[in-house]
Amino acid sequence: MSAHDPIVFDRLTHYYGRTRALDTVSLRVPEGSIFALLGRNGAGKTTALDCLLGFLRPTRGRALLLGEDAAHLPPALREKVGYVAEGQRLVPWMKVRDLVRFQRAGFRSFDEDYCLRHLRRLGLPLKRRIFNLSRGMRAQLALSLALAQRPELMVLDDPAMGLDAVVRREFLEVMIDLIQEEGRTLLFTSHILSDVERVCDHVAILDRGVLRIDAPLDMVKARVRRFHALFEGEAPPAPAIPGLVRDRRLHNELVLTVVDGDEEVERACRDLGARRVDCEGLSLEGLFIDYTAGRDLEGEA
Amino acid sequence: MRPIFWRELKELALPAVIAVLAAVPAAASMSSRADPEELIAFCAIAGALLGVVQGLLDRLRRSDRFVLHRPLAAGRLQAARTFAGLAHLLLVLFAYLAAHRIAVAYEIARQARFRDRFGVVIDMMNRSPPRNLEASQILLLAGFLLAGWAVVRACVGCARWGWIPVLVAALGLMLLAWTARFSSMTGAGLFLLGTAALFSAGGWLFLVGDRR
Amino acid sequence: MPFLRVDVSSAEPVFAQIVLGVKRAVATGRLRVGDRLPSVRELARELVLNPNTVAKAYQVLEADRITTSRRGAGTFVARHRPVLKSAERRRRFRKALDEALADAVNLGIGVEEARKVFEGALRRFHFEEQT
Repeated sequence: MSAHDPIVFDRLTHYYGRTRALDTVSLRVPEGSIFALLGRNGAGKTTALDCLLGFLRPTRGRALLLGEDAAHLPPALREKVGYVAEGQRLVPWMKVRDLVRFQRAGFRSFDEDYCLRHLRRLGLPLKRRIFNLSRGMRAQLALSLALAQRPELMVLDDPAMGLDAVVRREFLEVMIDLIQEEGRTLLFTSHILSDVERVCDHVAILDRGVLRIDAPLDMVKARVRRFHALFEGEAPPAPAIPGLVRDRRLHNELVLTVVDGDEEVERACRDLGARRVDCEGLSLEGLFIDYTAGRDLEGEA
Repeated sequence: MRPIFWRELKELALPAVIAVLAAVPAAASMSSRADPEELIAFCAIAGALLGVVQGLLDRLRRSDRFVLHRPLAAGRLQAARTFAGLAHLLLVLFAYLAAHRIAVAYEIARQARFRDRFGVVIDMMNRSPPRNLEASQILLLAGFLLAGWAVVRACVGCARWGWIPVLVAALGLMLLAWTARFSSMTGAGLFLLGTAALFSAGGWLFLVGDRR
Repeated sequence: MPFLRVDVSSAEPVFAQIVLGVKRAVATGRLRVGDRLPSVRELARELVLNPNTVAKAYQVLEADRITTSRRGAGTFVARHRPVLKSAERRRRFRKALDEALADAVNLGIGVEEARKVFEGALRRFHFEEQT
């Protein structure tokens, strides 16, 4: 944690009318990290990013981008931030070549040669209009444009949305090359958790506007475990264990997801009469589901 | 800011082209008979319509994150868009005036031929003879066109208060139209002042605003 | 390194999987002393992983003296130099063996079968000559 964290959310809260989109979200993205911001649809990810990039003024709290309050960003700071918006609409009526020129005119640090080389290597047709490009090509284009700025920080909002597996893999490979650059920080949101698992080192999960996890991925995987307790008859309701993330009752089995709770869970389950307690580690997908499934799914507290 | 201006010019082109295509027949039909208030109202409404369209596009733009994220102050961005819209507006005005002039010339020639043939002018509808617009009249009409445009666009484009500003703008325009009864010279003078202020402010932003 | 397989969804940290994979490769002779490991960048691309993860794995391998790196030339499998005292080494091996044998008993495997399996395994691995 340093004073130079490129991204900081400080008790960020936002309401759309009566609906609460973000609830006192505080987190820091360390410099040089590959940070994944995860959450279900409507969890508040895009709202958080909008606040971060100064497109939205939060109801309370603030976001800091490269040390500056996002609500009053000095325009020149945007040079250092490469941004790929959700959907990658870009400017539909422009030709690819024109758009590259347009970006060059807008950003002082834009490296046009690098951009064109990259696009040619990807096989993107320069004379085609953007609305005629496939989804995958638009995503690659958006990423190339952002990269050509040579930014310190990249913010990608669901860059792989709607892309098929082949294009996603290509995209991922570009991102990996990107990560090689020293000191560059990357914040992205995604629904494709297997991809996220490959590249991110920090993960944060938003659940209906509330931050549930903010930690290095390895640490989360090491500390959160799922326990399966088998009972003779119907499984009892879950015991009150500190660190309980989610509980489910399946006939004679009680499934508990717990943080830092290995011994306690074992003991508590045996006290309740469990015949057997098994423990498993979780993939990011498993973690995500357990943290965001919500109580309404099972109808049990 | 200049590249933004050219881009916005292209983006707002379609409504402008439609407006030009609508202005030409309008000019032709109004060449000989419109009375001043009708003409003023027409200009104000035409400006307002273009203002509505551009204002709505402004609103859309506000949510276009790709455009918003560039090292350019939001104010400058908006100024570039406004001037692109203004350029289109003036183009429409020019088209209207040109069409009007041609229509008047044609009408005069037609009536002259008729008179030569029949030795008398028969005017069933008792219309006044076709005349070109005087400079002060043109300025007044341009003023109303501009005012209608500016007010409506600003209100519609500002996403904060919904449709209320449009109603306010409409009322304001009606008030303006009513006050125009009293003097066309004052109107012309005000218009000139306003335009001068607008262009000087815009010109400054345009030239000084660029970092390169 | 085609034999190296990594499961990103596993709860086990990816860098630890890489370390284990390399150790196993050295132990079974797939990688010999002096073989060059791919660079961090190359391996990251091959496995489609965050290069920092690969770098971390390489750091651990070097700390454990499995590999050694030479400036500019790359990372190479090192000649094994015993770090631990022989008593400690034996203790660790006995612990690993105890776990495997406990599994064998739980699975209902008899002594003779266990011995056969064990001898087969000894042949698969590449033991260094004892000096």
